[in-house]
Formats: sequence, C-alpha cells, structure tokens
Amino acid sequence: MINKGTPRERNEFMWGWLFILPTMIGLIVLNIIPIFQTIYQSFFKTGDFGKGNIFIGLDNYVKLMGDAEVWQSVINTFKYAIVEVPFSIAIALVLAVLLNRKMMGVSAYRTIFFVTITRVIGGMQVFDLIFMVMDKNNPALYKTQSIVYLFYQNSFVENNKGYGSTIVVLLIAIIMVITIFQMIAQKKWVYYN
Amino acid sequence: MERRAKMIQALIHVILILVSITMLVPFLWMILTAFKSMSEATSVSPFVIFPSVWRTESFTTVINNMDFFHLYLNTLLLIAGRVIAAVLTATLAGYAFGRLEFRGKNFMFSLILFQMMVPGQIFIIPQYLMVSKMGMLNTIFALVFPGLVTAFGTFLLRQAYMGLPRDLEEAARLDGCNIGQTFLFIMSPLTRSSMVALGIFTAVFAYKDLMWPLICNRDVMPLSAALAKMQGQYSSNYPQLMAASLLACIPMIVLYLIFQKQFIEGIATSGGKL
Repeated sequence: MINKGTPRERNEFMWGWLFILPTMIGLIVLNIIPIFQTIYQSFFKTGDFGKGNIFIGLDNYVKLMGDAEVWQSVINTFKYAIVEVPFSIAIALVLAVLLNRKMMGVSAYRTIFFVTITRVIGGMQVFDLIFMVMDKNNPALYKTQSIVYLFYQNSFVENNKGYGSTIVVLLIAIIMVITIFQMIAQKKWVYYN
Repeated sequence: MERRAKMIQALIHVILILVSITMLVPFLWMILTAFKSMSEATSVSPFVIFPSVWRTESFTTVINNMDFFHLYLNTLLLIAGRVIAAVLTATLAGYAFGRLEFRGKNFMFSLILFQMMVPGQIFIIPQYLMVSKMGMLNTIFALVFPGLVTAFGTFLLRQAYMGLPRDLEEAARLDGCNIGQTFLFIMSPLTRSSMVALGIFTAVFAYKDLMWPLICNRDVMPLSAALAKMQGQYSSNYPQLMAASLLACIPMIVLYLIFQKQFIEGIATSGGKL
C-alpha cells in the first residue's frame, strides 16, 4: 500500500501548501521566472541597430571570461562589501549601545537618528550610490563600478541585454558559492541550542 | 570614580551630538534652500546659508504646478496596496514555514532565501514586460505589482512564529481547532509587532521606490518619481525642488511620528536596514 502519511500529516500538508501558495505563486511569477528568463537571455545577443535577438550559444560566456572590466568590477564589488558591511555593523552597534544607555536627552537623539534614517534613500544597494555619483567620464569609474552597475550599463545603456544577462548569471553564481560556503561554515561555527 | 563616569558620559554626548549634526545637516539645508531665491541657492562665493528673505514663492509655484493631491493619493495607494498584500501573504507563509511540516517545505523555503540574495535590478525588465502584456502599464496596479509578495517578509514572520511557544498550538488542537483556526485566532495575533514592523518596512520601501515607477508609469506617479522628474537636463530649480521635496517628506514624517515605537522595535528585531 502506498504510504500517504497519517491523516494528520496529510492535513498539515494541505494547510501548509495552502498558506504558502500566495507567496510562492507571487515569488515564482515575479522573481523565479525572471531569473530563468535572464539565464535564457544570456544565450542571445541584440542584433545591429537594436533589432532582433540572435542566438549565439555560449559566446557571451566566452566573452565574459576574457572581459577584464567584468572581473575588475567583481573585485570592486568585493572590496566595497568587505569594507562596508563590518563598518556599518560596527557603527550601528556602537550607536545602538550608546542610544540604549539611560541618559538625558536619549529620546531626542533617537528621534533625530531615526527620522533621518527613514528619510535617507537606501544607499546600501551597491548600485544606486555609484549610479548617482559617478558619471561616464569619471576616471575612477573602472575601479568603482560594481557588478550590478555593469549589468545596468550593458542592458539598459548599451542595449545589449544578452551580455547584461550573462553578467547577472555570473553574479548569481558568485552568490550561490558564497551561500553554500556560508551554510557549511555555519554548521561548524554556530552553536544552536 | 564618579568623575570618570561623568567624563565618559560627556564624551558620549559629544559623539552623539556630532553624529546627529552630520545626519541633520542635509535635511536642514534642504529646508533652508526651499526658502531661498535661485541665485542664493546656487551661489558658491559668497556661500549662502540663510536666505536673506524667507520667500515662499517656491512653495506656491510647486503646489500650483504639480498635482500634489494625486501625488499623495498615488503614493498612498501604492503603499497601502503593497502593505496589505505583503503582510497578508507573508504572515500566512511565515506560519506555514515556521510551524507546519509538509513535503517540499525546505525546497520552497530555499527559493525564498535565494530571492532575498539576488539584487532587485535584474527583475525590472521581465516585470515590466509582464505588466505590459497585461495591458496594465501606467496604473496603480503596475506600481503595486512588484511588491505584492515579499521574501524578506516571509522570512521575518517565520522567525516570529518560530519564537512562539508550541503549547498554545497543542492546547488549541486539543480544543478542536483546525490549523486554520489556530492560525487565525491564536497564533497570528501574537505576532502583531512583527506584522507592524513588516508593514512599516514595506511602506518605507514602497515610498522610496524610484526606478520602477519611472519605468512602468508615465502619468500615474508617486512622490518619488515625480520629484526625480523635476530635475532638468542641464540645471534644476533648486528652491522649487527642495520645496517639493519637503512636501514629499511629510507622509513619512507623519508615519514615523505615529509609529515611532514600532519603527525602532522593528529595526531592532529584524536587524533590517531602512
């Protein structure tokens, strides 16, 4: 007899899937499918004069491997992340501790900080900031542009969505490697009760 | 010993004052510039801090030429749409991921984690094409669309539910509640603070979403996009821009003043950045 699980298990199965359905449908439509579309797009290139989508197989990836600009942008992005993340956590932590002390005027400080924080545009995205500040002819651009910035350049500015998509696939691959590394490391470093 | 403690206190005050000033200066500059004339705003030498005359023309011009009523309305609808959709879907999914066991759960959750890690810009074109195919460009629906579901929110609510004691569910089960009733009447009210936190995050992110409204809509604009369009190609009318920006800040300031406590709790519990 096929083991369909106890009635309790089946019941929980039904409710579980029912509850996650809206979110998962949204996620698949809004995010997962676009990712597949992006991967699909990475095998094409935009024809001359922006007409047509031409299948070129792995050519984009070959080009990617030899593209110094892309690899420089990977280094740029890493440099930014390695510096920015610890700094911002450290500063935030220090401020949080300071704000937590029982002292006079603490709520005034809190108000100032958080009104400003809610007002500040999320410069954490390593694209917005660079996009706003750097301009095409800025000599420091080569060493500043991030991976996402390059994606934007290629896809929207140079209208080469195929190559832009290839860059994104590279980014996704890097993220997956870091995630897998982190999952393995977590098992060794983190002690759960 | 007492003296040393006082010195440290003073030092902390100094640090906090400096940091506060750093954060406040752009904001104050914005307010002051809104009352200046164009030449005062752009003059470099002499550098003008306070306007000689507190002009309100920028405000009146901006109010007369920009349809602020619709800007506020569109922003409000955008925020409301996203907040309601996101909180509803996330709390359901959060409970399921946090408290129920079902086949395929871990794989589905890994999809959620994955989505949280990828930069958002890559979704813009496919989403634009989707909305275009639906014939819904230039509508409020288009504005709300990318924010209908939230992977981050699902994650947040899952953490909230995982922190609740299991005894309550057991008791509810014994009393004859099915999973739906247990969720609706017992478990979800207990996560109220997390839901409010998610609501606030979603509201703030919707409010400052700039690129998506610029791409998908032309006439139905929220405040963020309308402000961006005010910038001219070669130069911008800074006093007017600042006046409009000030007016655009109002919703968020109001929101913050009402929900101050939840703002701070939300940032603290989720570690999220605004």
